[in-house]
Amino acid sequence: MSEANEHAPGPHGHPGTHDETRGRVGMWLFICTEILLFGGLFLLYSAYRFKHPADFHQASSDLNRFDGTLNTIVLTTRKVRPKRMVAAR
Amino acid sequence: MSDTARRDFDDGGPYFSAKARYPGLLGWLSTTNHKRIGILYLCLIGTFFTAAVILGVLMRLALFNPGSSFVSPATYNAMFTLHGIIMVFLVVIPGVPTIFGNFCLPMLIGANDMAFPRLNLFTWYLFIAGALIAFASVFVNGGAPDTGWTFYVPFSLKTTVDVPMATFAVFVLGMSSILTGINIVTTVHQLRAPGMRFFNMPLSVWGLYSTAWVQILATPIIGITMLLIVVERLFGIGVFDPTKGGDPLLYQHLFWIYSHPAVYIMILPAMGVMSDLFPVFSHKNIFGYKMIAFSSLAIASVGSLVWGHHMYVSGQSDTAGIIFSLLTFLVAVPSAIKVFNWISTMYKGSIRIEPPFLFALSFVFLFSIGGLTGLFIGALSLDVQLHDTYFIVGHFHYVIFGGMGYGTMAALHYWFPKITGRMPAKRPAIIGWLISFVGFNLFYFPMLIMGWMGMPRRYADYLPQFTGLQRFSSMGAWIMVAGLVVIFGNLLRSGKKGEKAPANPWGGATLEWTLPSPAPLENWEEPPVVTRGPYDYTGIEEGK
Repeated sequence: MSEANEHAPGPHGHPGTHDETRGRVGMWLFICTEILLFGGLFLLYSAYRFKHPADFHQASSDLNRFDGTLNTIVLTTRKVRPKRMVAAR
Repeated sequence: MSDTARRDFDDGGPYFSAKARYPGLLGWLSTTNHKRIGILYLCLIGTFFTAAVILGVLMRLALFNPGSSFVSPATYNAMFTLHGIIMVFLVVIPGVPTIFGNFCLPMLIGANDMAFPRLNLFTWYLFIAGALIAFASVFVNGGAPDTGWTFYVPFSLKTTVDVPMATFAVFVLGMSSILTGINIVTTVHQLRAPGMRFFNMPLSVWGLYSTAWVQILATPIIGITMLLIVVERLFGIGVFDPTKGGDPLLYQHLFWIYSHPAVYIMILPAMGVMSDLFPVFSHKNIFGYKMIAFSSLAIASVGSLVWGHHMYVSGQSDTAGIIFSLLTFLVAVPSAIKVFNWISTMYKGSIRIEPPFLFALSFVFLFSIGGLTGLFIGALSLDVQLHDTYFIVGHFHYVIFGGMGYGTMAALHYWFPKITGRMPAKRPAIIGWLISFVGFNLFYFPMLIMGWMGMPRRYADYLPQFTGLQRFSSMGAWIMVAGLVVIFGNLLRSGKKGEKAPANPWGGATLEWTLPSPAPLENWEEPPVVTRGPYDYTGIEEGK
């Protein structure tokens, strides 16, 4: 955004409010809803794990190590994408 | 990039006739303008409301006589389920935030559009997709859902009809609702006009803002719950199925963690609209601005912690029941604050009885009955008697139809000049209001009595001793619907042939009344500078 443009009202906003700030607020709120979405799942998981600890222990030894590692890498690096989305202008 | 949206239209003229990039219907379907999206939502939600009302009328017809009727018990189950799903998920939850949140919110805070105009249009398409999936679930895979709108397990896991499709529809509709909430919160934080502080905002904005937070924080929970039902049905995982070690009570917890706050999503924005209407039609500053603003936040936050009052008889622990009961009684306090403040606003005001204000007054009357009967069933011991009876049905309809429904009709009449540029005809509006108001009470009050006597909800038949009250209720329903036909017929007619509206027909002091009627496509060339309060009527005359 150029210097001259900065103080002109945009079609949606007003002086001083940039799309960038708005995008960041929106993305954080969205991430917040995602946490809550999966939070429900984690709540169930912890309730059942608390109820049946032996079964969970046994089941975890049946997991495929390679697939599990791959899955973890994908899930943990996924947060880069919203970050890049916010950074993109 | 910020100029792309502007280039979609030629500037000038009312929002609905401004020339779009694409002609005709395509121009509407590809619009990112907040007012046009509001109207798109209004058309869809109006259609769904009509469909669900017709289902309701047919149910009342089926219940006119005891014994077998023209609908089989299985069809009756499908009818009340559809009535519930359509009304709850397609009409009252999205209703005020999507129609008036879109149409009015930017004008109320002096912005030119929502924070994310394209996302806004996307929510409308998600909404249509969800609705289409819900309607498809009626016709494919074994028939319409018969679980009630609550999809309680284990029945929803066992029934042969297509529950996964209906629950997936709820998931999609939830996504749409979340994105609308994000849009509203961001808009209120980022796009207020210069000089408009938080405690300078119209109270309808406070209502929408609190609601948006509930949409953001509660809706994801129902999203995952509905997906778990789908997964359980398709792959038999056994999260909720007791025969596989699952816990059906967990489902009820997850469901009501969302669905109780959802009741506040329905009612809070309508309360906000009421707080705008009472000062305008009393021509007097609102009584207790800050208390009303804070009570919206209080309802949103405490209301998120009361879900267990739906589960008193489910077998949850007594301690939990006592805590949930206490919190339930606490929510009544901010609701009462609002009602008392509206009444106090009228005190020594210069009251004008116009159609929007009649609906607002009936909101207070009906919502008070709904709220007070809510305290009955919030009490642990009484709920054992009243749980799953007509008392619940009566209470719910008093709150939601009497509150949100009449609130929406008040808002429709109030902002009608901004939407269409014409005034709603006064006489037919008042006649329609009177018929519907009388019918409403004849319809739902007998339900409270029947529930007290033990008539269970969701039954296709009843014992002979209920015949009189059931018929009373059915006839009330038809009178009410006749009133609704007059009201909406009048609005449609006034939209075409009504008297031309001035910019500020009701004498409101909020920003939208400084714009011409109908509203232009672009709200303001220069952002308005706010120097007065939203309820400061010095120097404002009606009809100018």
